[in-house]
Amino acid sequence: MNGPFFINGWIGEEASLIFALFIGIAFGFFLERAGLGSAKKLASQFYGRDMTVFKMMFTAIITAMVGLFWFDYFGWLQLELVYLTPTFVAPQIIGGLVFGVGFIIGGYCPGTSCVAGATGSLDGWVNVIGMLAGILVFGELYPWLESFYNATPMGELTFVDYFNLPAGLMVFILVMIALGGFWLSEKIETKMANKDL
Amino acid sequence: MKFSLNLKLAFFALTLSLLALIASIFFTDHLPSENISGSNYITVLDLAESIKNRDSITLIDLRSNEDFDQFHIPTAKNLILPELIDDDFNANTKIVLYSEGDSLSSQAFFALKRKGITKIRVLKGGVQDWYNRLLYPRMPKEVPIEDKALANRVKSLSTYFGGRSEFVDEGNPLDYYKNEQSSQPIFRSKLVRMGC
Repeated sequence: MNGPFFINGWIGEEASLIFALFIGIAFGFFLERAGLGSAKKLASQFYGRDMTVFKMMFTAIITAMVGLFWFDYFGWLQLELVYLTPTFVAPQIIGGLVFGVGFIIGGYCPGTSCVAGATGSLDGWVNVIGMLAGILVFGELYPWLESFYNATPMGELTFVDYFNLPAGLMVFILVMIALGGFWLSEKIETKMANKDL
Repeated sequence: MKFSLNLKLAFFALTLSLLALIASIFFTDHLPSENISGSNYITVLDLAESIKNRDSITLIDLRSNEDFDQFHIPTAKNLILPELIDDDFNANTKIVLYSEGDSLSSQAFFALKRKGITKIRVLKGGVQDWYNRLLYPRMPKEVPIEDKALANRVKSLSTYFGGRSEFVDEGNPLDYYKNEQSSQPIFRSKLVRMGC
């Protein structure tokens, strides 16, 4: 038995939705437990006072990456079957900027706004409503945005394919960057905390 | 000396990544490769010829119903991935899969292989290459003498399927047909997008 389960026909559409439900609940639960249901904590990231977001995101990235590498290596998962979001340079740069501005102003990213909403936070709900309204507006404007939406396509890209690197080297580089980042972020936290005093 | 849990976890991540580095440099051939090899691909020209000759192949379009209705390769049948997995094929059916590019077809390729169907080929470059390289191929204004036969083949197949060639000054677009590699997409108006 090896993954991805759905593509290899191990589970059907209904079962995959049940998996998605449990993974989604677990995702929300751990986001909340990591403290990311609080806009103050999220905003502190941008002032360098609390690097939880950085540490949590990078931990998730390297955990998933190391896991995928070794699962693929032992043949438990076929990495080439895992879905990759195609790269569209210009629209993704603009999308990233819009996301970042929204994150700083609202204090939440889409996932954490749902988590905050679930804990009863009013600003969380305002963010969720705003997000849904934004999706509706985007959907209505789609015919005008379509050409930009599909501009500058580069297909499904990975660093490993693009630079022709061994996958393990990429894993090693990112883990080193993450560990260095964790060390540095603790230093920054201490420095910024002292500044406030 | 006592180490904190964070430090232990960091050390664990470092060890695993160091082993990953060693494994992917020194131990690369531990498992049979499951990549689609060259012989599992079919080029747009060979597929066009097969359709023209009415060879018995089952051509499957893996894109959405809407995309299929808008445009598809003649004789294709529309089956999205879950339908394809549920479908009962005779193990001897010759199947050609295509999607927008190569990735969805590769997923389908492995899914069918797992069901014991072996005579499967994937259209290299998918519907994009069919459109850009077969229906509306670009041709050099002056065809080099050694490429004449190839140029004629492309032109006649393009005309057969109702397309037309476009003539360009720069480079030799015919190199694409000699190359085993799939091309980069020129236009991607209907990419299926998923995301988080």
